[in-house]
Parts: sequence; structure tokens; C-alpha cells
Amino acid sequence: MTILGRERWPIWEEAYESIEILQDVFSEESDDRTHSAVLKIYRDYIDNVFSAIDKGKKIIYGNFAVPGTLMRGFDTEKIFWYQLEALPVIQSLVGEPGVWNAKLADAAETSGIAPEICSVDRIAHGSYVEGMVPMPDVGFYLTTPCDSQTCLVNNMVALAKKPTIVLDMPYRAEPEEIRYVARQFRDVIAFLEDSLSVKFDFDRLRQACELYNEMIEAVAEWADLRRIVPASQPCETLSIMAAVVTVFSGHQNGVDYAQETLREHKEFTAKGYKAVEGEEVRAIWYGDPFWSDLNFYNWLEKECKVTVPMDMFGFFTAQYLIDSTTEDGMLEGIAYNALRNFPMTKQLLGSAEDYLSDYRTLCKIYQADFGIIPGHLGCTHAWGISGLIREESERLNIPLLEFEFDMLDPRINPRDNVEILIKNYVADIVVPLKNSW
Amino acid sequence: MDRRKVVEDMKPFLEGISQAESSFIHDAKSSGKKIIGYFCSYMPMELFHAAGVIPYRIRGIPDRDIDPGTTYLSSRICTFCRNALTLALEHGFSFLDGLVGCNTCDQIRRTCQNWIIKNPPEFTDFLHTPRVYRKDHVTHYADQISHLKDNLERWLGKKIHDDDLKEACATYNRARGILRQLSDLRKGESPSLSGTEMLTLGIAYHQMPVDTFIPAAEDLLENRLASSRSTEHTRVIICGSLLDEPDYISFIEAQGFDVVAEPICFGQRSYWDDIDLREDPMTAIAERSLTHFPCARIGDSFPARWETIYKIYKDYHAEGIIFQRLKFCQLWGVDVHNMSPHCNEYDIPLLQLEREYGFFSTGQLQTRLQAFRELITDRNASMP
Repeated sequence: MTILGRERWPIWEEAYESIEILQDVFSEESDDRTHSAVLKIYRDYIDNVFSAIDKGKKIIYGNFAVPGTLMRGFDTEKIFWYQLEALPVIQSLVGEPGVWNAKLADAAETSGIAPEICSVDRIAHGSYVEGMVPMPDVGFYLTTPCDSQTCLVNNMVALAKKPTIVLDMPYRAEPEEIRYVARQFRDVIAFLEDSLSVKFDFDRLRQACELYNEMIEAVAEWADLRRIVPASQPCETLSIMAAVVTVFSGHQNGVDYAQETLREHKEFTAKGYKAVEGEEVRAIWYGDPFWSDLNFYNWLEKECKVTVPMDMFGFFTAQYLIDSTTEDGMLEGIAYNALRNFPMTKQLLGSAEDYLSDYRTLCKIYQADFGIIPGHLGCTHAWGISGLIREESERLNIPLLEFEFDMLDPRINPRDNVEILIKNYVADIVVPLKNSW
Repeated sequence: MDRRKVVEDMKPFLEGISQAESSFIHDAKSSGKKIIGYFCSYMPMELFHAAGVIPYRIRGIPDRDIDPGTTYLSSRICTFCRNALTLALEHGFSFLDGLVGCNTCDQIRRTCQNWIIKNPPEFTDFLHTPRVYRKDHVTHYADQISHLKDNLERWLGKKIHDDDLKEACATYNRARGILRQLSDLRKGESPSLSGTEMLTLGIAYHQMPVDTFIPAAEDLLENRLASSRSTEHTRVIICGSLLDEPDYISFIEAQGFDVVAEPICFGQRSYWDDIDLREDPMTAIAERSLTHFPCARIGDSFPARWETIYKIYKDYHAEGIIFQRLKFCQLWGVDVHNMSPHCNEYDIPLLQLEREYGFFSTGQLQTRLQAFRELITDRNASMP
């Protein structure tokens, strides 16, 4: 297997091969637009990684909260922004997480990283120490969404020994804080211009902001449509949305994916498709997606009759479109979205109320029969509010199932175990309660 | 050295940290002072002092049931947070008039939020403390502290003037200066202060009214300058995550070590640097907070942290480093990885210990410490 005509790291080649196989499978299923779209953009992404290496582009390391829209203001012929979490996520979506993610997480622990650190960051670290990712010229990181990300930043500063800039993401998102973040974006622009001898272009940024708005409008409309009962589009689609939006914001691929997903939803609804045959049970999945095995979502709908109309990662709104008429408007708009329209950061960076109120809203507008807190092991700020969310769910009279698992490492709580938990909970608690209503 | 005298001169500090509400806090409250709790060494103690309020850094109580805290925080959160929240839920901090939370780490942030929702004291606020330091962050932090000042003024019904702030900065500089002098007594061959005592002082600095702390610390300094303690112990420094348990250090020292420095947040990190009294006080407080030698909560901080730790290691003639970390503390979960290459480069023995708050397994710890001491002894013996 080669990528762009050359042999590459096996972990990438295997994912690439999987994408090719899946593209053949899904191209025959004309109804399925989202799988084809996501496979295309991830194939593009892998092509771009290796094209950047082959062309000797300057590589900027970033963590996943770095706003892609901002990065599009640089000339992509000269730089490539590599998200450290890209490989673990690609592995999960189209690779073999049980093999590679596990191997890389173990490599991180062997090198001295504590096992309590989020697996996303351990795997990202492992991929660096195992030499399976492009090496950086500079680093640009944000202190969001969590402590594990700060750990990864500290590691990368110590390991890569390259010029680095880190942005402080505030607790609140009032106008003062938005301006604070926007000012830091200007620091980043100056830093990258100096470090890489590249120019930032606000006209390019304007185009990216417009693409971002286009994407978010489609995502928000799609999120709104997902309220319908019974659900028409499978919840697997929902679980992928954040992985796309975070990497491809401000990029045509992001717009294409969002619009395809929206179109698919409309078509499925028009044709009377049902995500669940028979009576559905609706759950709000309030935490990290089950990325280590996306087939889990198919099981959930087909075997368990449970659909997830909305989860924490997919809950984007069109409330904060970017004002692309001025430089400050763009930077502040990107800042606002980075704080208030970005998965995890939105719910988990700030006050407890941010987290609780989104849960209330989701349960209400998506007519949840129960809530699921998938307790990703390394997610301390979610664990730290587990008691309050239980009380909130009680107040809403919505049963809440919590369990431990790992979003990328299937060894922690294998899918079989999770399935048994959910199946029993639905049969013993949720359905009897629903029937009693 | 007269050991009885040693115990006597440490008495105020032992009293200051002995229980949640010490006699000093009790007396201050009785005289009408308000007490504000906080969690982190990045907090502006000077502001509270200038407001006429006593800052009190939250600790847990060792060897206690932490189930109530675990119910809210889960067992995936460190035992310090669970312990402290348990105390808060069970009214163990009822003497506090206020609580100012901050985003020290995700776990302490959540602990504060649970506390404020479930059992709030009269005054609560939340201070965003930047996790990076550049000039703009200092300005932003100074603004955040100003907001806290405004809220305190509203609550207390009085203005906090710049002169009050300047005086508070000078007072705390004085306390930090005395602590540095005391700590420096351990640089020599015969340290007249043990690591256990020094950590006790570091905790007392955060929990006693500073006006009571300073004269007691000055007496201690005078006393210890005139004394020495001859030991054959192995000199180590102890670094890593939050540690406010002198018993833990005492156990380490009982295994043949002298803990000659503790660059941790209850130790040297909190008194290593002073506030620049020539600057605008609010900016100077923010500047010192953000530029003092950094906690792992700061986003790109390892190089600066290692530089200081290495300097302390050399200055205090240490022979090894003990890195301790609370289980589930993520922020300190990568520092050993980052320290190891440096320790290898400079041939510094490094021991990593993971612990729980409030109790420790003495047998296991003893074995590991003894092995570490042997390693250092053998290494020293093999040196030319």
C-alpha cells in the first residue's frame, strides 16, 4: 500500500487502505451520503499530510481546539497545520483502534506518561515518540479543553524543542474575554509569521470565515432537524460530526460534509426512513463518542431500539456566526466560537452551569427518554460534575445511565460489556418508566 | 541541639496547621475578621489581606472517610479534592465567610463548583487565572483580580486602597523573605531545620494570619540561626504535585533522608519570588503570580520549572530527587517523563512516588525509599 505513490508509516497506510475499501462499499449505496463524504475528506486529509511532508511544507503542531478557520489565513501552499489528535481519531474511525491506539497508548505509558491522562493525549504522545507523525517546525496550542491537553502541550514543548506559542482560554466568555482571546490570536499570527517567514492574509481569513459560517449554518439546521420523532437518520452520523467540524472548519471539505449530511437527513425524512424499526427509545449521549467502534451505534439502533438524536459533541448552534466584515470582527467571532461553539470547551471549560444547562436543553428539545453519561476515563472535568448531573437528571425525571469506558481504547471497557449495560438498563428501567408515562 | 527547644519554637506553626479551624483562625473570627478560603498558590493573598480579610488555603483532613466527596466527584478525581469537598459538604469549613474558586486544574475547579452549589459560604467568587504567561496575560490577570477586588469591596462595604495593597505586598514579601532565609538554613552540611518542619512552615504561611505568622517565623529564624543539626542522612529534594502532609515528609526523613528543599506549591514555589513594590500593586501581584516558578498547570512551563528545580538541586547540595504525585492528578502526570532525560543527563537519581491524600502504605513506601537510598549511597561510593 502506498500513499501518493510512496510507502509510508504502516499505521497511516492501513487507515488509507481501509478508506479505499470503504469507499468502494459505500459508493454502491446511493442513499448513504455521509459515509462517502467523510471517507472522502479523511482521504484528502491523509493526502494532505503526506503531500506536506513531500513538499517540505512548514509543519505547525496544534491541539484539537486550535480553530481551523484561523489557520486558513495562512498560505496552505507553505504551511500545514497538523492536529496531534488526528491520527488517533482517524485510527478510530477507519483503522484498528484495538491494535494501533492500544499500542501507542502503551508506548506513552512506557515513556513515563501517567495512565490517568486522557487516552487521546496519550495516543497522540505515543505517535510522536514512536515517530509515526510528521515532525513539527513550530507549535501553536490552546489551554482548552482540559488538563490532559495541557499535559500534551507540556510534553510537546519539552520533546520537540521548537518555538511554541500557547494561548490561554478563559473561564468565562463575556466580551472582555472574547477580546482577550482575539488579542492572543494576533499574537499567534505575529509569532507564526516570524517563525515561519509566511504572511497571514485577512482576505484569505475572510473566505475561511464565510466557509465556516456556511458549514455551521448547515450543521445547525441539521441539528434542528434531528429533533424529529421518530428519528430518520442513524446516530452514527451524529457521532462523526464533531470530528469533521473541528478539523475542517473554514474549509470547503467541512462545508461539503455538513451539507451532504443535511441533504441526507432531508431525503431520509422525506422517504419515511426510520433509524429504529418499531418504537424507538431516545437517549442523550452526554459525553465522548464511542469512536473506538462506530458499529456500536448501529447495534444501539438495530438491537437495542435506542437512538441518539443528539450528543454533547454534535450540539453546534448557528448563534455565533462570524462577522467577516472587519479584522476584529473575524478574530472575535472565531474566539467566540472557540469558547462557546466547540465540543467539550463549550460545556466543560467554564462553570458547572454551562454543563448542566446544555444537558437540560438537550433532554428537553430532543425529547429524551433517558440520558447516558459515557464516562471516558481521562475526562476529569466531566467526572468532577457527575454528582451534580445525576441530581439534575433526577430533577428532570430522566433516568441516567453512567458507565466507564474509553473513547479510543477498546480494552478499557469492551463494547460487549457496554452493550449489556445499556440493554439491561433500557429493558429494566427506561422502557417500564416510559410505558408508565 | 536542644530538641525540646525545637518543639517549642515550632509550636505556633503546628497549632496553625493542626486542624481546619486553628486557634488563630478562631481568635481572628472572634475579633470580627472575615476568613476567605482558596485553593491555589496562584491566588492573590495580598488582596485579601489588604481587604482586612484573612486568606485561608484549603486542606483536607487525613485519615477520614471521603465518600460524600466521592459521590459528587467520582472516584476518578484525586483524593485531595474528594477529601476537601467532603469537609465542605459536612460543614467542616463553616468558619469560612467566603470561598474564591479558581481554575487551578479541572479537578479543583469542579470541587469549588460543587462546594458553591451544594453548601455556599456567604461570599463566593471565581477567579480566572491564566494558564500561560506573556505580557497580555499579566494585564488580563490584573483585570481579573480587579474584578475580584470590586466584588470584595461590595461585600465588605469598604474600599480597598492602593496604599492598603502596597502595604499588603510588603507584608507578604517580608513573610516570603523569612521563609527563604529559613529554607536556606538547609543549604549547609548541618541543616538546622528538617524538611518536615519546613513544609509545616510552608503550610502555616498559607493558613495562619500573616501578621501572626511573621513574628513567630522571625523568632524561629533567630533560634535556628544559632543551632545546627548534624546528620548522616541522604539529601534529597521533593517536587511534584500538591503535598500538605508533613507526616509524609517525616516518614521519608525517618528512612535516612534529609529533605533539604521542596519546590512544591506549599513549599518554595509559594515563597521563592517577591512582588516588585515599585510597580502598580495590582499589576505587580498579577506579575508575580504568573511569573513565579511555574506549576504544571501552566501550558508551556516545563523548561522554566526544570531550570529552577535544577538550580535548587545544586544550591541545596541534594543527592537525589523524589517526585511525588497524587493519584489521578493529571497535570503532574507527565513531568517525570519530561524530567527523566535531564536527570539522566546530569546523573541525578530520581524516584517517582504515587500517593493518595491522607494515608499511605508505609511498608511499600519504606521499601522503595530504602532501595532509593541504597542506590544513592552506592552511586556516591563509586564516585571518584
